[in-house]
Amino acid sequence: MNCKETQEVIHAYLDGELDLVHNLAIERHLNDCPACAQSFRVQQSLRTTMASRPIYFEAPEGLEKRLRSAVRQASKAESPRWKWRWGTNRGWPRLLAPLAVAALVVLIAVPILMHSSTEDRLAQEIVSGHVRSLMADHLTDVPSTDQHTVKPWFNGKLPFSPPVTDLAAQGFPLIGGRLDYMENHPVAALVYQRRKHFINLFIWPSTRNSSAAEDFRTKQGYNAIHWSQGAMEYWAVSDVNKGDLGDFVQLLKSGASRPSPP
Amino acid sequence: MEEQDKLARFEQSIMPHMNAAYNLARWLAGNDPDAQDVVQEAYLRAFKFLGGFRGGDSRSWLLRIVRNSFYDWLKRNRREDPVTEFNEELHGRADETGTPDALLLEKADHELLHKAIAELPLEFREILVLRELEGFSYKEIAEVADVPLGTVMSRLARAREHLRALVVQRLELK
Repeated sequence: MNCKETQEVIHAYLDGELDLVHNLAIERHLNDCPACAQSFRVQQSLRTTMASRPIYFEAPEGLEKRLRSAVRQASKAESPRWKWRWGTNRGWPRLLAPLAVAALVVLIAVPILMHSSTEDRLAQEIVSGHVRSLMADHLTDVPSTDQHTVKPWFNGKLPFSPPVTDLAAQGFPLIGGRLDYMENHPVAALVYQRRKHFINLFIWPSTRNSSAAEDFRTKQGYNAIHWSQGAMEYWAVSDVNKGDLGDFVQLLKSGASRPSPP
Repeated sequence: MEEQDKLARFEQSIMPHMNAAYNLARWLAGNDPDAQDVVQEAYLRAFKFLGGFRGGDSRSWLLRIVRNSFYDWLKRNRREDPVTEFNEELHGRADETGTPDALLLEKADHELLHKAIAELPLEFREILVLRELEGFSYKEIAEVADVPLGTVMSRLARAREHLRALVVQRLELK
């Protein structure tokens, strides 16, 4: 890679948007070329300076209230039409139709919902766990980017040994581990980073025999993916986009089949 | 969608991103009252079109609406672009001004940095804010700003070069 090519993709490199091959090519060039290395350092320094100055505008007090009341008004403006339409539904044949629908719902949908609601409740618990870990400033009990430090840390704290894989080279550096509590038992929580976002990966032993297919959900703006593999249940949850989280899961799935030696 | 469900869904997926919405609007509009108007307009639109939101990342969905609301607001309220044409000659091209040391940039305090960013043309400012302050990926920026991925890359590169030149210029004037 020459200087011109390097300058073209130097920002993508800075932003972690390049694939492994290009990353390596750039790194080689930066090692050899002082001019490009210098301009890279300048951009890097601009970036850290921006990140460390308070230039993010927090919403002013009162905006939240203002937005809620505006939206409620808009909602009221929409709803009278609803009631009016219901009001015209007179006569008993029309009453029977909703009843028939209700009966169908009970017969068909309830069993499906019962199943999905267990999963849904768990998803909610997972998202809450993720939010809590970020709010309480208690992301990790063992902050370490080394899988050989994180894995043994769980020894004696959990009745199982979770597979720990570092994915730093793939853009998801491991930053630590934590004990958490899900579905009434202790679970392992591994924390990964994706740019400025965090991913919580919850792991506990599976109670079912077969592997479950991936299940994707969005809750409160967070994405969560659930799957089971090798007698373990996995939930990955984060505010990174669906594509990134999907990539993360694929990397784990291919890596988890050869867990790190204890 | 039943109104109550819609309100609940709105509360869950849109309200949490109020700071992101305000930050973008504030950087685009340049002042607080206008930014608040833009955010309110965006929230009303988001509520109206919530049925069309098919899951996925609600933050980028909302920010796209904020951006559109801003440009509509701009058309209604201003006769021309609030930012003066950017003079590349005046600010100098990156390659020619040479590369000052990285240490110099670290001297920029938040006020100086703020003024320099505010001076960038809108198309650069929005991409820089989405990248540096929201941490969006290029793909997400492309969706929010409604431009191809290649454009995101080249605009971001130019935005940073301009910003660097502006910061250095202001530091040297000090």
